[in-house]
Amino acid sequence: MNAMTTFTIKSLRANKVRTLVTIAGVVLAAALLTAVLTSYTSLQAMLYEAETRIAGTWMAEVQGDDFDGLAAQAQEAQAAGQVNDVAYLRDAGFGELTEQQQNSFGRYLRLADFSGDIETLCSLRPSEGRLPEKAGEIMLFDTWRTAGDGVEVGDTITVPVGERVAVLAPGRTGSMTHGEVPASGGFVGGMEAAEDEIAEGTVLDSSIGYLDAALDGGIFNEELRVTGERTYTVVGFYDNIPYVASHGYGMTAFTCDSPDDELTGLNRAYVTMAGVDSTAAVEQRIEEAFPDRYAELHMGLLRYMGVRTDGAIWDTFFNIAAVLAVVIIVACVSLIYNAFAISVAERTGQFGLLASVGASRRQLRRAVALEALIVAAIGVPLGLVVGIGGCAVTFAALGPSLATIFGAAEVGFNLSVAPWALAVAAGLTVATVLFSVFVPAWRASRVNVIDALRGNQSARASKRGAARAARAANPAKLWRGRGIAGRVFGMGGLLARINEKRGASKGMVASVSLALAIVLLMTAGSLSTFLGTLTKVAGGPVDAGDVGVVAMFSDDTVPGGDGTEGADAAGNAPGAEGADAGAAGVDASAQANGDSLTLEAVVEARNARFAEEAAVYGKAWEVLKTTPDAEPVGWRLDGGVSLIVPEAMVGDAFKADGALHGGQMADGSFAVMGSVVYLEDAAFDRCVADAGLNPADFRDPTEPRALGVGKAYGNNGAVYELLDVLTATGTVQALTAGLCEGEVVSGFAVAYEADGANGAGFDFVPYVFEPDGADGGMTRNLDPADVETATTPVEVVAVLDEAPELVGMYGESVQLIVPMSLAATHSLGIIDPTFRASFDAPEGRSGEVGDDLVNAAGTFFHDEAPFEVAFLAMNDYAGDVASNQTLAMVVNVFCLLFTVILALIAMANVFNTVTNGLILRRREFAVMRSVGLSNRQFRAMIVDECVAWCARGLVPGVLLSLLVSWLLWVAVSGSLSGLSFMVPWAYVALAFAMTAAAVGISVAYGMHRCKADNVVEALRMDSV
Amino acid sequence: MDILTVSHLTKIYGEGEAATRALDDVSFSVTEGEFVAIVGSSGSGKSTLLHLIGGVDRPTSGHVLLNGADVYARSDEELAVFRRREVGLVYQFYNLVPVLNVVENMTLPVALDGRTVNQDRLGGLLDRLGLRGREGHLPRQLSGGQQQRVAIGRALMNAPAVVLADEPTGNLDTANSREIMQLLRDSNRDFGQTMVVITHDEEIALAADRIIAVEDGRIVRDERIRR
Repeated sequence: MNAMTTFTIKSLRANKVRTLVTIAGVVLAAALLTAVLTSYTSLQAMLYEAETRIAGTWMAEVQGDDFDGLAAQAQEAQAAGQVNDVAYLRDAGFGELTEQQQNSFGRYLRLADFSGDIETLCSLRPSEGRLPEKAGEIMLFDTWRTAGDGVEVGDTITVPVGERVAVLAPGRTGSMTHGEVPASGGFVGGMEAAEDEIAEGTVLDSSIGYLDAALDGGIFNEELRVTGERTYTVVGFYDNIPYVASHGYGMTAFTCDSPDDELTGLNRAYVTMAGVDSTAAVEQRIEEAFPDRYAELHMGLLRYMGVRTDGAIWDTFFNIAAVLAVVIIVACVSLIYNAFAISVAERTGQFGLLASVGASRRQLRRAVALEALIVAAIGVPLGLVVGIGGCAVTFAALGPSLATIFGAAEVGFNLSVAPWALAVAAGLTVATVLFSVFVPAWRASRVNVIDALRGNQSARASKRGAARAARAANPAKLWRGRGIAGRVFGMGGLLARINEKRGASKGMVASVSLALAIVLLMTAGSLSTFLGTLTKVAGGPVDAGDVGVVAMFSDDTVPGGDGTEGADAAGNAPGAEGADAGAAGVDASAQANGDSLTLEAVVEARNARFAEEAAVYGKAWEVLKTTPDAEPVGWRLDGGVSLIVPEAMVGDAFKADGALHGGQMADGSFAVMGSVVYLEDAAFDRCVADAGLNPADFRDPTEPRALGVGKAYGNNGAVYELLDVLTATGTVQALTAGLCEGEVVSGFAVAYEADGANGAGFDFVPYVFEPDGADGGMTRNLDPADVETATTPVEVVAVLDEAPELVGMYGESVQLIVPMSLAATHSLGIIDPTFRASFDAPEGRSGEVGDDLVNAAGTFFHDEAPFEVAFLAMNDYAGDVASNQTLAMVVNVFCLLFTVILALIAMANVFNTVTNGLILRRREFAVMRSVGLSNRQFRAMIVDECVAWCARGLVPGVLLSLLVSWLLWVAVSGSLSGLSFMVPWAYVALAFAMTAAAVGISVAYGMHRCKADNVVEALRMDSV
Repeated sequence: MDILTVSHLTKIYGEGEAATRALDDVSFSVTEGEFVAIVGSSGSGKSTLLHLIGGVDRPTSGHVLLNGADVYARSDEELAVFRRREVGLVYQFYNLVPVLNVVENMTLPVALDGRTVNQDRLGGLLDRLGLRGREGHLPRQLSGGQQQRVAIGRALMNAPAVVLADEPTGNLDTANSREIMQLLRDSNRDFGQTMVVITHDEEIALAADRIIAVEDGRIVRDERIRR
């Protein structure tokens, strides 16, 4: 051990406190980096696990028409080590389904014959029963068990099986290539799709999605050419839909060992491989092993495997993690740098002494570097342990909630420590330490021996300072130009200003650490704000009760018609448009009443239909109330209405551009897409009574009266929040029907017309559905001038500040509440209202009770309702609330931890730099005090300097933190549109306050140290 | 007339067994215009004595009367004012404020007192100290001897009751030492400035009117030099 090493170790030992503080800084830095990286690897591991659970471990899917060729290539590739495992899925025809079955299972029963470890590779796991093991056995999707008559394990099913054949749509000619065919529900990998030509009569394999010219804009429809019939024994069901079972034309049923003549169409090989690190490498392997075959990559899995994806779409989380990692690294560099810089600066004298006895600059540099390495050698391993330990504790506490949030509850969020992560954390910390000592070491090695020995701190003045000093030599102007500082802080302020102008360091270190403190605190603040918003918005408005049943009838069936298919539609919701889509039915019934269709007849038919539906729902409510454990809360019907609202009643929200759906028409009143809630009479009467009105006033069928809700959710241009939609009482007009040259208007949209019939402004645009036979249908706009419109006046008697809970709280536009009894006479233009019944359920059982309710409703509608059910579903509000609360808790804990850690770093840094900055100058202070600087003047001087540091630190700090906030916003807004960038002012204030407090405490401590230092002692610090 | 009276001054550093009696019941007086040299070996307590007279430290017991007023009857704030006006301190290592130039360092006590600088006195001192042309220099731009002359200028600027110098030549070569001693001597003679100088340089001591020898915190010798 040479002399310098001995010296280094001795000096580390001699300065225990300083050494420990430095080591603590290194530990903290290493721990934080480890924690960030470990969180990342753990999350990645969890998402990977979850992805394999959901979609399987396959990395690429290779397709081919010739199974033998494909299998031969796969075997060869396995032998060559190019791929590891292989599983196959072969098209085994398409089963024909009845119309009723199609509602539940899709267009066809796709039959797929598997071989290989399909369970692991493709995540095809039976939820009940087992996988098929021999020919003639089949595994079906779970809805076969639950829907309709139900199939059980052990049953046999017989299905007509055939080929899908392309048929030109009426009036179309020509052909198209596979590439033009809409994707089959999977995703397109890196390779080009095979360009198979499709013409009239082409047999379609499973890679081609359902052809419907009306829907996909192509020229082909398709039909099933049945070639035979097959009988299978059901051996199992699966209930999660892995990628391999998800296709646009229907649910897949799995078989195995089918006879070769049944296996026609496309064959797919699912492969895994080892030792690939990019998607390009995966592609290349596939191209080598399976030349010229079409393949798709399992991008979802590859991303979580750490396999680089080209132009990868980073998830919000990874963006946030990246921003945080950068912030933490900067914080750690600053912490360690300061610790070393100060420790070296404090020992300038020592280095002078060493130099005076012959230590070379190189030796001095190495002494400092050695010191750094010793500190790192102790600090880094400790930091790794602390980081992993911290993660383990945090994950143990938050893991289950985190896993739930990421949709991987079965997998769980477990600690996953990657060696590379530890290496990176250790490497980064050591690099940080070395970087942090380089500058101080360089400085130490350049210490002027004599100056160091004399403790001469002449280097404190900068070159420019000397020039300034020279200019200030005019005796007549001595101590002039005090400025504001001089006036406020007197002589002390003036000295501070001179120090600031002429000093070499100018308290730069302090300013930098102050700026950093602001950045750190604001980063934490922004994160909390954005994540908080995220959870809040994700929470959304919540309905009354723990569970809700939502239902809607479809208008395809004329009242009194056959309604046997009703209940089967459960869980197969086509969306809200279903109501409008079927409007033709009611209106057709209106037409059937007479030869010439009148507006009155349409309105009358709609009212009658509405009343009938309301009566059915009323009975359904009575039935549902008897469900065990379901505590009835209330029920309502609601639907969208087109309203003309006088300007005097409209809130600001409609006056702002694009905030809500609606706007001012040319005549000054507003065209608004609103909604009407028909509330059961008892609940309605309570609302009315609460508003101080008489319920009896709302019962007159000739004069519909309503309560209005004053506020609604909308985007005010910055955030999603409650806006004013209705401010005054008055009478609005509901558009109840429209007739255009004998054609019934399906509905009214609101649009801005720059040159409409009535001038510039918003207006109602009547439209009709094109009866195309297709599911969704398309609309054709009509000229408002040609349309005869019926309206119903509704008097809004009171505007409620708060929407009643039973109404489902706030809507997204004008909301009117009317009593259910009004449903007997007025539809207000609503064709098929949405039925919403709310119930309370015993804690934790909301899901089960919800299922029971839906089943009861399904049975009732099936047996009793004269309408076809378009939509029947259950909302587990209690479950949603619980999971939202979990999310909020996780986010809050995470933000709190992060804020506390960053605040600690920031404060430690400020404290370190400020106190040391003062302590290093204590000799100078002693000189000033010995010539008569009073305590008051001393304080004024220091306070003035601090103000200057703060001012210099705050401006760049705030600018930098705005940048970081913005980056975080970019990261978060990726998953949440409508979140506008906002400065977290509360946290800005907090950051200022905390920084100011830290400076205050540091200064107080520093001054205390300087004062406690006897002037005599301080002056004596002449030598080492 | 006695301008400075030190009576029964005792200073103990530390406590218990570690207690060091730096000054032990020291008493003496200095008359106005006197040039006193305090000599003694290292650790004899002479610097402690000087700091106690200068009001930068507080005695364990005893009194210091300057211009008839008890120095340590003052509060800290008053003591600061006292140091500005009544005392001029000169140290071995100059102790100039690094960011202040020559004239600012010299006039710092006046400025701290909030008074206007007497331009005649400043000009006179600059001439006498040979610092003309260096008014705007920072301490690090000056030689050791020049820095010490600035420190002396600072001490004299206020025409204090007493100038206290602690080894003012301890850090200088022989030529500079002589020059500094001459300056102190001249100031004493020309301005009638009372001086108390600590030194262990016999030659310098001999330039004084009176030599007080301190050993182990006590005065062992107090003699006037007759010229």
